[in-house]
Amino acid sequence: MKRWLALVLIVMVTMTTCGCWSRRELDTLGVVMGMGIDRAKEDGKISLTIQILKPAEAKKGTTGEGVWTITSSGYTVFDAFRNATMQSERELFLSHNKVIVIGEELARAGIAPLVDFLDRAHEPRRLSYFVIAKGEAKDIILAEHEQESIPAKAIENMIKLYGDTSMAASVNLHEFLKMLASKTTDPIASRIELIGAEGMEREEDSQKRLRLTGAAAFLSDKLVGWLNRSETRGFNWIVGKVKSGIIVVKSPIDESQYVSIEIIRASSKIIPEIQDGKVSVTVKINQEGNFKEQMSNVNLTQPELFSSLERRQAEVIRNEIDAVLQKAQKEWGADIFGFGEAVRREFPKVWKGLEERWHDEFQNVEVRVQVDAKLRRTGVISTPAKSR
Amino acid sequence: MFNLLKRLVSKKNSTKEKGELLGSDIQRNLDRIKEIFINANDIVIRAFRVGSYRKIKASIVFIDGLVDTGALNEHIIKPLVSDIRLTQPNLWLTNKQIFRLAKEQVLSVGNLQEVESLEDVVSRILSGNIVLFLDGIPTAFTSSLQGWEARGIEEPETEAVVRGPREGFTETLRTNTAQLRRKIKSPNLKFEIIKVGRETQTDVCVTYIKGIANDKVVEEVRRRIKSIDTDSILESGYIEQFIEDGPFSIFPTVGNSEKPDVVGGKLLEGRVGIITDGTPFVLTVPFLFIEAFQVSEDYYSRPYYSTLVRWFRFIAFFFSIFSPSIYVALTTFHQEMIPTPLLVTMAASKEGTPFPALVEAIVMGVIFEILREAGVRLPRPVGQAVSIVGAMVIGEAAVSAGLIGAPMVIVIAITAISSFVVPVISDAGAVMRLFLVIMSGFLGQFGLMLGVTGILTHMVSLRSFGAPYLSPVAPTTISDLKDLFIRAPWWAMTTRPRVIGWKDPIRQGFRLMPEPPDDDEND
Repeated sequence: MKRWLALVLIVMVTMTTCGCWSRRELDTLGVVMGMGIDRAKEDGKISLTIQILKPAEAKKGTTGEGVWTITSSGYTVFDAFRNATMQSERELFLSHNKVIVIGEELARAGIAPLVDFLDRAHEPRRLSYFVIAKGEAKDIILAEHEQESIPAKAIENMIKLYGDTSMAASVNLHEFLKMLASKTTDPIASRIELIGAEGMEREEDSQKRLRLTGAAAFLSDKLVGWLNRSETRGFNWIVGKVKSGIIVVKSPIDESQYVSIEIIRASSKIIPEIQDGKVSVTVKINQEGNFKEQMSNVNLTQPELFSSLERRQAEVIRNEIDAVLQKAQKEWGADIFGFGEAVRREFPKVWKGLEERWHDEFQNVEVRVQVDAKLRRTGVISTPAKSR
Repeated sequence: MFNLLKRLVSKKNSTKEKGELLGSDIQRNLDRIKEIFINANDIVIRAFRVGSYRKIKASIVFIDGLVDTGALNEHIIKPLVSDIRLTQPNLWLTNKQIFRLAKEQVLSVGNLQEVESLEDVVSRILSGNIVLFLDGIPTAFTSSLQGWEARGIEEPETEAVVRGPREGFTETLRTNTAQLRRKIKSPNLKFEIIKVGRETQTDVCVTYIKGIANDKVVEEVRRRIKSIDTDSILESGYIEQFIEDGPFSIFPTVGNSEKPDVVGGKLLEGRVGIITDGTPFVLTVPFLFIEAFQVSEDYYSRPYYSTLVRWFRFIAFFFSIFSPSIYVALTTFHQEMIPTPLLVTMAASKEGTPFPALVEAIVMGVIFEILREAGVRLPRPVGQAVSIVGAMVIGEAAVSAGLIGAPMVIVIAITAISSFVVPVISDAGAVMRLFLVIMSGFLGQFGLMLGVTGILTHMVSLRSFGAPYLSPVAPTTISDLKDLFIRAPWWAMTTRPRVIGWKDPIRQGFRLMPEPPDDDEND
């Protein structure tokens, strides 16, 4: 009898103390695939644009028809989000959200108030990509994609492919929140634009399309400026997020022609030093490339030419890094590279005094860049087809 | 209430008259038998006289149809009626002398016993023995000349093998013990008969290998069988339910097999077999959960494939128990756990279907069980028709009519196919499946885990004749891992399962791995 009582108690306790959940059938869910947050026309309100999955159409895969879009406004993100349900016959479900797009205007005003809901609520997935739109987020969410029936998925895939050039930032909500929470590191996010292709014959081909164009840099939680594509790769070099990409250098024999080198391996090390109370940082880049293309008609596969190519390669990398350092460090004073974190890890005792005034200090930190660029293979041919 | 009933039953037992002895007067004995077998028209009492000068009354009693009449005529009646006169033509024999003569020189049967009590006589007759009465002798001869129509030894349909012996047990106890004896030619192989069932008087045979089987388990089996007080034992399933450890458990704690090699193998591991007359299903105890995954062919095939197949069985078991409940939990509670492309497909097929996933799962599960049952019970040609109709209706029509989502049909199909892979616990599986699908339908993964925890707790506490049900996993026995997730090669299976064969744990010699002779010897 006692045992049965205990059993009943155990079952009751486990059933009543396990947090909240609810039973929802799949066909009662409006699966949110992407969301954009903008400043609303009305004062003090924000406007939310949501891309909602239409499963049956998405399965058929007809272009651009896999989703429908609604916008709503509210004083807070959650408010706007709940207001959106008045247009949707289904309960909005955030866990499969692929991208969060923030409008430029709102981003400049400060992003911390917007992400609190995404951080606090249990549904939003921290793997959603965090993207800043140059312009309005609404336009990004409304833009169609020719191949992918779910445009948000297309954005996600584009960001996932960033490694092919390493010229875009790939930041998901989790990484962004981590950077935001850090006392010294300033956040960075992907940058997306709608850009029309020019000179296309058919009208529909020249319509504006989504394009990743680098990164958006923040100071604290406010957008301070944009990094272009090569600056973004400079950033990726420093933080070690370069996966692959093409380095274009001038041919050592024929300066008017180009050679492309494919990055096959890259890594970086940030080594902070403190001398006489002055902080300096050494960024060591190790890179390996494959000789993949040359436009000049000469045989470049000779050891001395290879080392010349390696030098040129390193030069390109250094230039990219210098460009981003110039902008972020000197212009904005935004520690998007996490140098402060590196110093903290290396010199925890000194850091205590340094932490408060890091942002003043940061602009004066001397950054030494050491690039070790290697060239490995030549591809399947050594001399070009036309060698006269 | 129960105690009262118990007392009543035991009282009835003790009052049962016991040990009425036979008398010297043949007529009296026969009258008693006629009295007992009144209105039983299959009883035959054949009266004749024995002897040359002085004829003594004799009678043979047997049940028509249970006795090999050819042998009876040839070896009992003919010798007594005529041969005895040829061998001893001129003697004036007394009853006692005839009795001795018959026993020692006349009756040409191998199996001849003497019985003195009326009860024994009756039970012998009922078992298909013949009983011979001689006038003036208070003892009767009995000989087992059983000969009735019986099924031959066939390959059991339930345990078909690709490699391995194809013989199966039959309904006749003697044939079954003989099959076992042919496998294990050792005097240590014991067969003990216990009669169970007040009306059926079924022979139940406890078999074990002395020295390997744990004596306490044997004694416990005897005790449990002897304490059965029922009117009938028609199948070993009756005994199973009277002696099992977890009467309310959904898990079987008594194993069964139709194949002598399987039972033989289990006996050699130290288990005890229970053969029941009238059924080819032989019980084995103790029964561990893992035995459901060990198939005789595992031990006949080479170890790699056996291991692989065993893993498939584990996976199939997992599928058959969990796939509907996981599907229901994911689609109704944890949509965030489904990869997005899969979610799109699943949501698309859910679009417009009228029932919740839980209802879909239960309805499909029930339909499947009905179809299976129909397929089993119907005559084979009709059964096929049923499965075709079922496949068409469920697979095609339900989906295209939009009643059921296509993924659910796939899930149920996987479940159904998987559940046939581990037939031993497929009935327990069906119960668990339903239980878990309801749990996860109401509480999601949380409910599923709750259910699994409940089932596991129950399984861990379950015992079969003293052996922990989940051993050798819990409690873990390192040496038994050789036959758990892998099936080690035979030369490595040195010891018997610890919880069962600990009395004599060493099965074979060590270092039996075959290898070529040393090079030195070749030179």
